[in-house]
Amino acid sequence: MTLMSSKKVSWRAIDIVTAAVLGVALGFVFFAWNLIYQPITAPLEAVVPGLGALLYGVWLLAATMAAAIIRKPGAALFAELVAASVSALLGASWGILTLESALVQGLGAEIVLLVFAYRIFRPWAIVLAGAGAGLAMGINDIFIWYPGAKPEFIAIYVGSALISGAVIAGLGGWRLAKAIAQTGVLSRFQIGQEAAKPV
Amino acid sequence: MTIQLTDWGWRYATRKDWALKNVTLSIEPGERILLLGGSGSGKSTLLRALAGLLNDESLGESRGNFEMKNAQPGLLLQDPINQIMAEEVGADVAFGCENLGVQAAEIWPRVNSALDDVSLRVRLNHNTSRLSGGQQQRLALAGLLAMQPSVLLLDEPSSMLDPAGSARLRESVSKAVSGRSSTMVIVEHQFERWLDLVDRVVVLGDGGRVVADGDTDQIFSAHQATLQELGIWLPQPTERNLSSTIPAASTRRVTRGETPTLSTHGLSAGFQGEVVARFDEDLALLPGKNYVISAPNGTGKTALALTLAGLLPPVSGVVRTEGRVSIAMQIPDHQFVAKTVGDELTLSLRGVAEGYEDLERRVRGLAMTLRLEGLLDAHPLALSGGQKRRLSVGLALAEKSPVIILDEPTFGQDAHTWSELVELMRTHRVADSTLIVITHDQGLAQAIGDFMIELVASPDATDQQLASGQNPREREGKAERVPPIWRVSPLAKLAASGVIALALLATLDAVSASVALLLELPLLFFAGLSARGLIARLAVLISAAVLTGVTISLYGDGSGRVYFTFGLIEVSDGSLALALASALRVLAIALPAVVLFATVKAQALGESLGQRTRLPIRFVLGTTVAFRLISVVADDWRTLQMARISRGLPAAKGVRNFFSASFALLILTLRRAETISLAMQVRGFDAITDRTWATPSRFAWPEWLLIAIGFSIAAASLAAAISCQTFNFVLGVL
Repeated sequence: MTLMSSKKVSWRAIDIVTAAVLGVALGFVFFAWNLIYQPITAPLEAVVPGLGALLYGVWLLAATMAAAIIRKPGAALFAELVAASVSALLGASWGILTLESALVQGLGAEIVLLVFAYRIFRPWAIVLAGAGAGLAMGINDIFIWYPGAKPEFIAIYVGSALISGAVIAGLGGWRLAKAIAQTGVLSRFQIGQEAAKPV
Repeated sequence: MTIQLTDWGWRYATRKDWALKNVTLSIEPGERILLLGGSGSGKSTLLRALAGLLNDESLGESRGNFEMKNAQPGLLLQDPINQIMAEEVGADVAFGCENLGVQAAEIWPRVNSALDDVSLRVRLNHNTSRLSGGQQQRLALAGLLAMQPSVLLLDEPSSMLDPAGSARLRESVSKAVSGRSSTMVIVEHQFERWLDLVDRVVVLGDGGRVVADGDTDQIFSAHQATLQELGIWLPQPTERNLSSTIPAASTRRVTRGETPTLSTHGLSAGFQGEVVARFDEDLALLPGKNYVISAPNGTGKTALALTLAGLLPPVSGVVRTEGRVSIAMQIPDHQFVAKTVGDELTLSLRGVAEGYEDLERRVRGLAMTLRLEGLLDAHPLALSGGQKRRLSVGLALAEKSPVIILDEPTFGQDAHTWSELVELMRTHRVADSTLIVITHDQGLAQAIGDFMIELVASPDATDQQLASGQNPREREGKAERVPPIWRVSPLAKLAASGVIALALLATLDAVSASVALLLELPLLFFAGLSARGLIARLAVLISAAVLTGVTISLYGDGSGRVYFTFGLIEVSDGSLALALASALRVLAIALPAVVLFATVKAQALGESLGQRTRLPIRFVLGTTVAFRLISVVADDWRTLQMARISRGLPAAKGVRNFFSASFALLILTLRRAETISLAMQVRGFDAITDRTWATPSRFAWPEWLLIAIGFSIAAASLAAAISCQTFNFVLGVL
């Protein structure tokens, strides 16, 4: 079962709370990643400028995981915004633009899911949604943080962000959601009901 | 208003079998019912149905007839922490009323009277996370009472409370139902103390059918055998005084020639240097003996257990142990680290097994003992509550350590599991090991204890306040003294930092950024942040600015004199100027937000977003309640670290371990989501149409002043750039 009946677009309490709680938990992950991503991506940057964005997909996990679990229009955007708010409240170095990034990144994922009319949530759709979020992240960063960069840098940066969105956020987020479902936590969601053995 | 179920049944979407079958039951208004049944008999499911929580197709299907008209149900759940809806006591109790659309003027009297009913005499702005478990449970009850339910449903309300805590809860319930003519249905394993509150007992058998229904005395005399078979606790004739029957442990009991397995000297335990538990006397615990530590909730028995196990450094004094200490922590979920039950058993047994075959044999043997042999491939977190508990106690005993600590091993278990656990503790321990059981289960203490250890409670500020009977009329009392910036609406903070960001994004030049930065610095003094907090936040910011600067100096568009080239790298006058501007701009954009956001409270954010914006209200509320988890998640993280060390894994050092610990945290947090959403539904979350707000979110001159400051900084920096002719329109650079 990968199709979702169009009747189920209204959000249940469990949908809202799970998306928000997922956002809070990943907000911590974002915050931790904020503190350590510079030394971790430095070697990549040293090889080719802009290549560090290959690891920036971590910041998109809230969007892809929420999409994979909640499977409703707006879930990716909502969870990404909540996660970014938590990371901003804890003290992210981009200030209010942390929220702006999340908005753009979440919308990037939503646009892809909208193309599939919010009916397809197979792994490849989540990978594409991650790529969409990654592309949005790359373009946004260039505008906001790197105006005046060379075209080569821009191409490498945006390309890396896109790949990272697809691989880390898309594939990684899907597998993470699946692994969580296996523990029986998500029994009220389709992904949990698919994973659980009937008992 | 009669509730009538006829041949009613329910099946969860994830299960093949019906949780409840052919339930025929009628409940008259004002009846007080005790609902009994073995584990898995569907008691909780029935309560949820009565609470109106099963009206969701994705949850499962029902059959038969269910009639419940004009009833306003209120359900109290087991777990106190996940029922908290707000940071402040008053806002928490008001939450349900607001959802129902009760007028603000009527809400506060209701809140006060509900708090009176549950005898919670604290200020309305008292922090909910600083209440003890028992107080939090009474707070949740107050939140329901304020909604004036006609049917009060209690789902094992005291299973997570100590005897004193549950006695107080019972008093509160008694007071609440006696004043009103409300119907009550309660599910509770150890129900003795509730018996005089109920007039009817309904017993559910296996497969969810009603097997007995009648008045209290009749059920306990006529159906004893049935009850025993179902694993239901039976009322004990008398309660013996615990400390009089088990001798107290003391250093004097160590005789010559005996070496204690664990000894303490001047020990006090607590978290982050704050003492929550201490012993009056030093301990010297002997091999082959069972010690029971009995202490009320909130006296820090968990801190003590962790300290004795060597997982938490003592606040003062020392713990000496001979060899390894095994511990089964209070919440089994924390300690499960493997993907399958089989792997968990292997992890604990690998230290004692001789060779691979022996290990396999032992794993199978232990699985049989724990009655988990059919579940070796199951995920440990997917087990039932009783299975998890058997597994965690079994794992601790299996390690064959000289000291074994069990923290509340019988918490919330039915009579069957209880006996299994006691049997396990008696038979599956090494003869010369020391067993320490921390519990307030008096039956367990009687069953296995050789010695008692008394814990000295450290005075809890809240309880003192409660004991002194502070006048509830003073609840409105003094607000906590905080710098004024904390009370400014978060929306104004967002707007002010947004305006500055917008101006600085339009241009990329050093002049505008420096001017903004200079004007922002005085803001730091108004934030009232501690020096440490400020430095931590600024450190993140400065390193980000430096990184951006370095990146742009190497890869920015060049011009003027070139200093260095290598591949794509070219450092020139032009790129250095851009780099300086970029770095200053990063600082100037982030500084106001970083400082202002540090003074935002989740509750205030929720209140202002809900009242002052048109964002969908359920999402705002869901987010606000989830935000409260920020502090809970931080505690969970610390607990998880200790739990992982206790299972022989290194703490979150190394990338792999960090990720697996994060995964465990994610699961733990998502597990809370399920209870939280139930608790929100119970408080009228799904009934929201015209929500009211008990506390109006202010937006007056301080807010406008802050926004004006934001505008002035933005305008000043732009004006400076233009007058110095350094204005550098960003889209022109691109």
